[in-house]
Amino acid sequence: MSATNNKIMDDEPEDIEALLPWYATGALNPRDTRRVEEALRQDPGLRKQYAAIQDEYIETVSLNENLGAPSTRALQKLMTAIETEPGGRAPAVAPKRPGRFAALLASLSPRTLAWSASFGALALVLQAGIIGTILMRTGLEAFQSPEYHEQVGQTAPAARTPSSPETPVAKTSAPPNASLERRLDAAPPPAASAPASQPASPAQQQATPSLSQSDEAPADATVTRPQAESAAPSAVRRSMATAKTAKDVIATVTFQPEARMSDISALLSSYRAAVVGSEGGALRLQFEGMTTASDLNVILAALRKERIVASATAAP
Amino acid sequence: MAMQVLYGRHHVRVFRFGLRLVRNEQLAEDLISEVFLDVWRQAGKFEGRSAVSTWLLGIMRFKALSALRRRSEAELDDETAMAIVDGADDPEVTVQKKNTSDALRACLTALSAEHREIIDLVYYHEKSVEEVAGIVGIPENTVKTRLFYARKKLAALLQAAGIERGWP
Repeated sequence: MSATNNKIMDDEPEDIEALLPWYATGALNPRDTRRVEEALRQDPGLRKQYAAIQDEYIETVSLNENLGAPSTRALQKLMTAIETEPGGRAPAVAPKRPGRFAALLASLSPRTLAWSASFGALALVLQAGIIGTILMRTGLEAFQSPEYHEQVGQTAPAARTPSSPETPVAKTSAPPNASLERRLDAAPPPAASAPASQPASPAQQQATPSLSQSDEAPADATVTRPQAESAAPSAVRRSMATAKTAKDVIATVTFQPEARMSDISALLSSYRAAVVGSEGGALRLQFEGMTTASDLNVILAALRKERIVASATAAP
Repeated sequence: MAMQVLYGRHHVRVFRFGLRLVRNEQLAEDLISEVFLDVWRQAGKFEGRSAVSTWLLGIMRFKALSALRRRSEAELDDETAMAIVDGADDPEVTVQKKNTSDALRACLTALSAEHREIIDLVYYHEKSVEEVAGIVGIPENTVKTRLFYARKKLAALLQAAGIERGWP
């Protein structure tokens, strides 16, 4: 009689026998794996039991996979709970910065603090004076937004021409007409409003060529303005349709099992991706600045080359 | 963002583990929110010595047992509640099942929570002996014997349903 049957009679598993389920799932270390393989070669009773274990393994997986998934209510409830927690959405490590700043202030002597405060106050007064002077010279027109012009009709063309050199506010802000084009024309990628200091990923730069053109060419924007106005109703409709499309362009991405949370978070940040849902172990991602299916394809191609990405497909 | 990623990657499996323990979808959904809220609160305590999924399953197990205890209102202690075989789908019912797969699944469902738990952790969540010991809070040898007894109980249920598998 085999060792296996003896042990069943004794109602206690033998060492190797007890390891069979983990051998089936591949969760044994190499040493135990070799021991089990050796025993399986020699003991037909053990092989029979192993066949039964494989059935159990398959059916347990099948049973669990058919249990479904929690509804979105669970995630909503979680997010609501997180927002009502002390600290709200702030990450757990956020308090470090104020701590450092407070420590810096505490390290300064009272006299140094007093001088610093005086210097700061003086700088504020100077800044206010400069801004006041600029306002007096240029009037309020420099601060009117393109949207305002559109509302009041095609008046004040002078206000739409590039402002005089001494109007730093108008000069340094995004060209007003470029902004108007973004609103009226087809592609309003959110990346347009992102600070220039945030570098876009290579994929994103490829995906949004029209954006960089409109941002860098204020003169052209001024020229195209009347065309945009003449076609205003249809252009506005197109703009709204595009906004809807942008929301609908979603990728489904799965990551390698060994991918670490920090790696995934870094990757999502570099692609400016937001998690909008999940299906099984896959994440549904929306990308900032991505408006069309071709944009999505560019990003999907880039994602598939990432080491930690197992699959990346367009969500239906 | 990190919480959404974590949730997206693990919530389904952790939910299913909880659902198999508490057998109530609504309750399992409530528990999944509680599990990840705990994670959000205690992120700093995770030392990385085990896989994140092992950590999450451990939290879910604790929450599920607490919920079961609340439901039974001290009539049963955890150990007793976990050991009760579910009569909802007993072997007589499984006799009606046409094939071995259906019968096996019915018997897997009919096991006690203690046995369901260990079978799920090993077969579905593919946890090692050490990981199961960490999640359930029992010695590694007890993990092995508990799974063995769970499998024997499963075989007995199948036998009662008229299905012979050649083991034991």
